[in-house]
Amino acid sequence: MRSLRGRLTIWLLAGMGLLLTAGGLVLSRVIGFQLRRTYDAALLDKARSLAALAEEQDGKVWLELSGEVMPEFERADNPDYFELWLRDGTMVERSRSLGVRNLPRSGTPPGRLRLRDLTLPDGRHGRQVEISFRPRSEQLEVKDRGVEPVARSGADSPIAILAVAHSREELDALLASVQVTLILVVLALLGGTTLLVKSVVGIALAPLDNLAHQLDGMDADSLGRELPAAADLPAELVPVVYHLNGLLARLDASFARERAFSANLAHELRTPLSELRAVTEVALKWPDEAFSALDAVAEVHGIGLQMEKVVLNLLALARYDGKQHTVWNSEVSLREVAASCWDTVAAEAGETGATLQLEIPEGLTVVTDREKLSLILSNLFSNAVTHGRRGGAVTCSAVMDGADFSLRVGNGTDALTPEDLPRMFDRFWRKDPARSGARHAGLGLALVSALCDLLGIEKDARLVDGRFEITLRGRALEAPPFIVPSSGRC
Amino acid sequence: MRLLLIEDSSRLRATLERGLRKTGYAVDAAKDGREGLWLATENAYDVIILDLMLPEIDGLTVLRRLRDAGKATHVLILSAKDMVEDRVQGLRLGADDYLVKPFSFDELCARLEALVRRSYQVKNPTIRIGDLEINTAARRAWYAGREVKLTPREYGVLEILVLRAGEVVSRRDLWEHLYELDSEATSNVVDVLVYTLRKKLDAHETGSARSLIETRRGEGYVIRAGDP
Repeated sequence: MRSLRGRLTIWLLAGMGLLLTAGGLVLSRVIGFQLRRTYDAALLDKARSLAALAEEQDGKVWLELSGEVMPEFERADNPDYFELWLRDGTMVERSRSLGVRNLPRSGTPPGRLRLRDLTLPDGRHGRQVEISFRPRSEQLEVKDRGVEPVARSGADSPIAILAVAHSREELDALLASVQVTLILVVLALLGGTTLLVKSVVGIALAPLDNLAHQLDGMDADSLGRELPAAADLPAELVPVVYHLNGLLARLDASFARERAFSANLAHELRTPLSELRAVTEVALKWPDEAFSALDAVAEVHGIGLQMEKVVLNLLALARYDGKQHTVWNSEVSLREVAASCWDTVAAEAGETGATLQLEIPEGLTVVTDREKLSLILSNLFSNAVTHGRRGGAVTCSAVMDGADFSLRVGNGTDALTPEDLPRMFDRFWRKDPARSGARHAGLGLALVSALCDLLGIEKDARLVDGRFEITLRGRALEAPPFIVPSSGRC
Repeated sequence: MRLLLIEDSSRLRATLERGLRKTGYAVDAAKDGREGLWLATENAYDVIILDLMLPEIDGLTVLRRLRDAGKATHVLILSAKDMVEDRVQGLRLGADDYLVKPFSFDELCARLEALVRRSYQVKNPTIRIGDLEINTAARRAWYAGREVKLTPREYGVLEILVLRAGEVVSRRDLWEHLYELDSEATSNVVDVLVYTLRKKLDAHETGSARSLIETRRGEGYVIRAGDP
C-alpha cells in the first residue's frame, strides 16, 4: 500500500492488535495462574485440615472425622473425595463418596505434596492434592492435675499419605469466563482503536491533505504564489513547505526564462522576417525603380546571414546542452589564443575605438580544448567591444593559482547594474529592452556559459568600480582525453 | 499625406520609407523613441507608425506622452509583440490600429489609408465632388468619367484638397503633407504642383467657367464642396 494514510492505519492497527492480543494473553495467564493457585491453596488447606484429624497411637492410625464437620465428602451430588493410607499401602480411611473406588496414588515422599489433574470417580474433571505426613501421636501423660492425653507429632509415627480430590469444573468455568471476557474486551479495544487510529491519522495528516490540495490547485501561472507557512503547520512540514516554495520559485523563474526565451526568439526571428518581407514586397511592387532588384537581393542576403547566425548559435547551444561535442584537449598558450581571438573582433574594435590590454604572461599554458576556449574568448571580446564604454580598454589577464588558472576579461561600462548579473548568461538576454541592432542577438554569453560547462570551467561575472569583469577558473593541467597538435586546430 | 515612422531596425525603416514614399506619402523617420517623440510633438502628421520595442524611450511611453500632450494624431503600432494583452494595452493607451510583424506591405498601406480617411471623417474610399472622383485606396482620380493620370505628389495635393473640400488649405499645410522634414523642396514647389494639376484637370474640362481648384491669394487653395 503506497498511501501514507493506509500505511499508518494498517501498521498502527497491526501494532495495537498485537499489543492488545499479547496483553490479553498475559492477563489471561496471570488470572488463570492466580485462580489455580487460590484453588490449589484451598484444596491444600482442606487436605491439611484432614491430615490434622489423623491420629496415631501405638502404631495405629485413624481419622477423627465426622460427617458434620466435612459434609462435602458425604453428599451424593458433586461430592469431594479423600483417601488416607499408610506408606505400606494399608488403607486407613476413605470418604464415603468414594465407595469402593480408589483415588490414584503417586507415592509422594514424606513432607512433600503433589498436585495433579484427574478424572474423578464420578467422571468429572477434578484436581487432587496428595500430601505425605506423620499423623499426630496421642499419648497419655501423667501430670500434676491427673492423666491427660498429650498430642505430639513424633518421629516414630508411621508415614501416612492423604489424597484429597475436588471437582475443578467451577474453576474451569471461571477460567473460561475470564478468557471469553478478555477476548471480548480485546476485540472491543481493537474496534475502538480502529476508530481512534483512523480519526487520529486523519487529523494528523490533515495538513498534508491541505498541502496536497494547494499543490493540486497550482499551474504554470500560479507558480509565483508561495505556499502559506501557517502557524499551525506541523514542524515536519515546515521544511517541506520551505523547500517546495524554493522549488516553486525556481520553477517560476525557469518558466519566466522559458517565456522570455520564446518571446525573444520570436522577436529575433520576426524582425528579420519583417525586413525580408518588406524588402521583397517593395522591390516587387516597383521593379523598375532606382532601388534595383540587386539592392533588394543584397538586403535579403544580409537578413539571411543575420538569421543564419541566430539559428547556428541556437543549434550550437542545443548541441552543447546535449553534450554532443567532443572535448579535444591540448596544451594551449593563453596569451597566444587571446591575441588571436582579439584579431577576430579587431574590425569592430576599430569602429568603437576599443583597445586590448593583454596582461597574460608568456608561457602560461593550460590543457583544454583550444577551439572552444577561442570561441569563449571571441564572444567575451566581442561583447566587451560592442557593449563596453566607447574608446575604452578591454583588459585580458590571467594568473596561475596552484593547479588552477584564472582568466579575466573586463571592460568599462555605464549601463550594467548588479541586478543584470544573474540574468546575463540567459539566452537572448540583452540589456536593451528594445533589442535594437542586428549584430548581437543576446546569445554570446549563453554560448560562453554552455562552453564553460562543457570544459569544466567556472565563470563569474561582477561589477567592480564601473568595470564589468568575467572571470574564468579551471584546472590548468587535466589529463587530456585526446591530444591533438595545438597548431592543427582553431 | 505625411507620415512619421518610428522604427529602430534600420533595414526595415529604410525599406518602409522607400515604399511609402513610392506610394505617395511624405515620410519622416526616427530611429528611437526620443527622436520620434520630438518629431511627433513638433510636427503635424496624418499618421504615426510606431514600433513598441524602441531604444531610449519605448513605444508605449511615446504613445502615452503624445496623448498626454494632447496630440490626437492617428497612431498605428507596428510591433513583433503579438500577444492579445500587448494589442489591448497598445489600443487602450490610445493607438488607433495595431499591426503585428511580419506584415504585408499592402496591408500596412490599406490600414494607413483607412486611418487617413478616418482623419477626415470619410468612410468611402471613393470621394466625389461634382465631376471629380478620387479613390483613396487606388490613389487614382477621374474627371468627367475619364481617368486623370497624376504623379504621386499631384495626387497627394488633389487628395488633401478633396478631403478638406470647402476649406482653404495653405501652401504651408500642403507642403507639410507632401514633403519630408529634411526635404530641400521650397514652398514654391506646391504652386508648381497645383499648376500642373490644374492643367491636367483642365484638359478634361467640361465647360465650367471656373477652375476646379481656386486660388485664394495670400491664403492658399480650395476645392469648393458640392461644386457642380
